[in-house]
Amino acid sequence: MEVKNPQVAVLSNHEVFDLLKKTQENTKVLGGMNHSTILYEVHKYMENKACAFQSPDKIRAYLIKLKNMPINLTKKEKLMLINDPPDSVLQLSLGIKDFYDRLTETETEMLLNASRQFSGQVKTDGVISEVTNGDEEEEDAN
Amino acid sequence: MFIVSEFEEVVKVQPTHLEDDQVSRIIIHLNSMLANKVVMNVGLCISLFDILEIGDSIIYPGEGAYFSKVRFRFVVFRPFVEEILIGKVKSSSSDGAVLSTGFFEDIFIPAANMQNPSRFDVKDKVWVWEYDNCGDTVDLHMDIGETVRFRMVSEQFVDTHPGVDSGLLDTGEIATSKSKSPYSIVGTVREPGLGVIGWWTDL
Repeated sequence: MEVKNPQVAVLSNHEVFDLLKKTQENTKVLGGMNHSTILYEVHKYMENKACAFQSPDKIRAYLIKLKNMPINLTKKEKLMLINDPPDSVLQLSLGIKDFYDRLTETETEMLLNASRQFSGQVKTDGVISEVTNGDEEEEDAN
Repeated sequence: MFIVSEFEEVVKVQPTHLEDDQVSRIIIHLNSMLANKVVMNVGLCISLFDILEIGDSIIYPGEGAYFSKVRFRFVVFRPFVEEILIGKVKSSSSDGAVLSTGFFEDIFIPAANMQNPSRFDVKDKVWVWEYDNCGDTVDLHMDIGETVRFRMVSEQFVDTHPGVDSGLLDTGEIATSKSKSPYSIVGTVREPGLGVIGWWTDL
């Protein structure tokens, strides 16, 4: 076997989730135990993450919103914002390099609002549904 | 976390499957060949993405099977360096903690990448972050099975092909660990916001 191109494109978790679900349903394309195992395990990992509740339309709307903001984000940063929508300033700062230098307070607020709106009210073990005041204080202390 | 990679492979279809649909035979072959396997410097293969091209099929003399050259794309698990990922603690030792995503279990957080200051509780075999809460030290445990957010720092591919590590090494060199995983990730939780998810929601 020959590797033609190790990285053609990057997929968001939702795209993988969707694709694997379709593959799992179509028993005609399953390739034995190894394949079923990995499909099951990846599905299990994703089923309670944010990607399980997303849709292509929602992601598109979110990306357009990000594009219209006065903040320049890299592709990887946007990918992380989609895969794991931040719910607090602290979480937001993890995914964006030099966060405190690049973003003003109003821009942070704008980004956070968009991200919260995008993730909706879903509660997953990766995403906190509510930001308490304690989180904000913690943030200032840092 | 996931990427699409392009490969090319000559697929052999046995005569017993001649009456089956060629495309679905090829898909089954590719999925069983690559799913849940690590390809060097590519990543952990998950599932077929699509087939780009199926070349002309060839039957060699003295052989009933036919061979087709197939160009296809595969979904591969290959997080990038600096990416924030979520995993569960699988085991802990004084060297660090091993995390798992369920489908990938070779994520290692070395002791030096734990929250500062941390200690390893020998009795309970867990890592403990000695969080300083305005003067009081609060012990935050990283128990087995807890969901942890971490940042990927580096990755390593090791050729585990038979023969590479079979004792045929240069003199003086000692074979380190026998069961090395072909693809492993080193991560860190030494940043505010990283570590057990509950640490940053309940505080």
